[in-house]
Amino acid sequence: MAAQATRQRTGFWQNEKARGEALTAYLFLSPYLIITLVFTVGLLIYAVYLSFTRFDLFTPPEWRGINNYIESLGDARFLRSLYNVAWYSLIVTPVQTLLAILMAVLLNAPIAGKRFFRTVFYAPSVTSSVVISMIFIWLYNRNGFINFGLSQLLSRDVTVSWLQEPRGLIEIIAGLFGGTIPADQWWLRGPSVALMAIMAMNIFTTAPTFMIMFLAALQDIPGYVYEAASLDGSYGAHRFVNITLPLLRPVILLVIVLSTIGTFQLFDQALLMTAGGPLDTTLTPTLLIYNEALGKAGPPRMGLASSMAFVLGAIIFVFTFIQRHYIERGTEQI
Amino acid sequence: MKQTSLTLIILVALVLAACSGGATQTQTAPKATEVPKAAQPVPAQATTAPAQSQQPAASASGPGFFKKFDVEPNAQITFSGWGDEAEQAVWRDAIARFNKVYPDVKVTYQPVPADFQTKLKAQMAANQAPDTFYVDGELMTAFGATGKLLALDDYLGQSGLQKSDWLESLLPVFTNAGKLYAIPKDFGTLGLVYLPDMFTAAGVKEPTADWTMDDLKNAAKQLTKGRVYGFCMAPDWARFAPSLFQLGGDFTDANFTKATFNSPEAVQATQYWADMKLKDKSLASPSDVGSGWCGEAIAKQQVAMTWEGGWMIPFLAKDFKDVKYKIIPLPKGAKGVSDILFTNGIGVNAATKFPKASAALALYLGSRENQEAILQTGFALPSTKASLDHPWFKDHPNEAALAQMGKVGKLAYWGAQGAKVQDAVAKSLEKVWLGQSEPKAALDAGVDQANKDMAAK
Repeated sequence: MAAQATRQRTGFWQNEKARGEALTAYLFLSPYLIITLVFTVGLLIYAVYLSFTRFDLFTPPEWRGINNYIESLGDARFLRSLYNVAWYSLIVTPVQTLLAILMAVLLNAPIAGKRFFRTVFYAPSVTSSVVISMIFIWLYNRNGFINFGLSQLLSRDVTVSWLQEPRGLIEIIAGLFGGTIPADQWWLRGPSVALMAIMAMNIFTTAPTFMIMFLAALQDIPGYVYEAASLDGSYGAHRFVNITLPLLRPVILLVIVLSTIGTFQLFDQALLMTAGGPLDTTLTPTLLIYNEALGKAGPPRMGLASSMAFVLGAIIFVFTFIQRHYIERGTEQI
Repeated sequence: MKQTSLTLIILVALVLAACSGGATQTQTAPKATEVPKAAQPVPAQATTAPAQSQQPAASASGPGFFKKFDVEPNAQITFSGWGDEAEQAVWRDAIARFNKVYPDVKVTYQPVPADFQTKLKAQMAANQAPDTFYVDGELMTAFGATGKLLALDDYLGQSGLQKSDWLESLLPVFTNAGKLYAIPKDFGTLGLVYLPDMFTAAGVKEPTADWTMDDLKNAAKQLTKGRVYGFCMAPDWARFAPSLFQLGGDFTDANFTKATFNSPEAVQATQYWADMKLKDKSLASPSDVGSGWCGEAIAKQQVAMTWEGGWMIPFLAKDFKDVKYKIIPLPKGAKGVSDILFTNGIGVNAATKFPKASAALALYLGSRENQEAILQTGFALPSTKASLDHPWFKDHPNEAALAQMGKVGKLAYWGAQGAKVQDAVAKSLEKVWLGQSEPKAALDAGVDQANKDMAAK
């Protein structure tokens, strides 16, 4: 038996057919594999090295040990950006997941013009984020459509400069009760109006992507499950909560994980719409990393930027791990 | 199906854009918090007929005029900078002038309309950068100390030029360890822009060149009526700077090691604007009147006065021909009049194969004959000292007022970490504008951050 197994294993390389197949497979894989190895894995390893150095892009890197990590964790802007993006993720992830489920369930129902609605709902997701950002800059403008609509609705002048308003959510709520937040305690202010404006836009553009995933998952649920449920007297909301949602659980995990990763990496919308302002309330870690790496303010600090990137990566990893732990535990029981 | 729905979306977007009125305007205009580049991408007035220049090319001599020196035979060099089509036309003409002096140097112009600095850094890191290119504060910070630029000091002598031919206040940004790495190609500064008709309507005397800051404050108060504000200013470090300079204050110490914008002078200057904004309510942020920047607020006649620069002139000439405005020098403060200067230069790649030809191009483009030819297209103000009293200014009082401010202004430059200092100033001002913080507390917090940034390695 053992001898046979050994022969089979060594036989693989001696067996011309098997070897040929393997080589063919690698040959087909190679374009992607080489690109990944050079431009992702290779650069990742280089970035690990750079995160321990001082590097200004033009003179050779200079070893700094863990000083970059110490500096980035003490950097007020970096902490600020993490704070912003934590709020961003906390609000955007649940809202867009719920919205995606809702849209998917609606579009899964037998309604007229289903294909039309699917296309319309999905269109924001296939449109370039730059184009969407530009359109939303107009909408959010002080003379823009949002203010116009609100003015009509409330029949009084609404003149909010949505993308230039640094007041935070908690600050505004506190203000309603006559409270104020001291100027230097930014961490008590909550997400700014500008950040929430970007949140709203991002939910609008990303929810449909996840809607497609839920739609696919919904169509995967076999009809006999529902049939059995109806025999047991389960209909409507009861059936949705007890049958549909549990069966969607793996997809919900996937969506929440992807959404968390995506929200922590918010970049293009923040760059285009507010460039991190007002008062750093829409500054995101990736935007800060970009600014530091390319020397948008001061000399390029590629080393510091790399260390910030790894701190951000570690944070995303921890969140993903926790989410997986909680949600997947539930999945296995089914 | 997909196509029709996309068409639908585009239609909706267009309708929405149309609903938002002047919003499109806002987007094309420079944001007020941005540093106005010396030659903000603005359309030049006279680029359609730039050949009108009466200046005989290369035959003039005197301070600031370029003297031909020997360069590599048959040199082929590239020149790159940002700029829209109007700016590109200006430089194509300038290269043609250069080729009259050096017919056998082939210059290839490679304009980069957007993200020029990022692109150039990438090109430089890959040893693919052009031979000559625009150098601004950001590029100087990245290239100057890392040996990527060619020192131009030796070529200055060969071309019969000297540093004192230019406004010397502009040179520190291009200087590293005593050597000059770029030639200021032009400069920009601020003047008091106002709408005379509003003064007449409100029965307020028009500002004069000997106005003081108190006069400005009083007039702004009287001019504020209904939806019109007397003065427009964003919480912007650049517009704030002159009000600090004229009290004798500055953002940092002379060596750029310590932030000083919480000095009593700075508190006083900030309090001045805070009173106008929060007490008199005579000062508007551009967003208060729904404009993207103060130039737009003037154009739409939402404010009576603001501090803006030469980029206003083509902006108003293009889209707001009917607006009657004047530009005069800034009012005086306790220690006389001051202003802030912006500049961009032209530098040479240290790795160029043709250092002499490239240096000749950079020096020629920055020399008096080229800058005066460009002046006559109305595109930019010349950085060569002697050009500031050019006869052209006699018929152009607005530009003349700005040119005179060039002589008294101070350069917007605070060392390698200057951009972060400016950012800290702007954030402090923004807190005051919003009424979130008292001037002193806001400036103290800003100074803390700026000091940390300047200490960073």
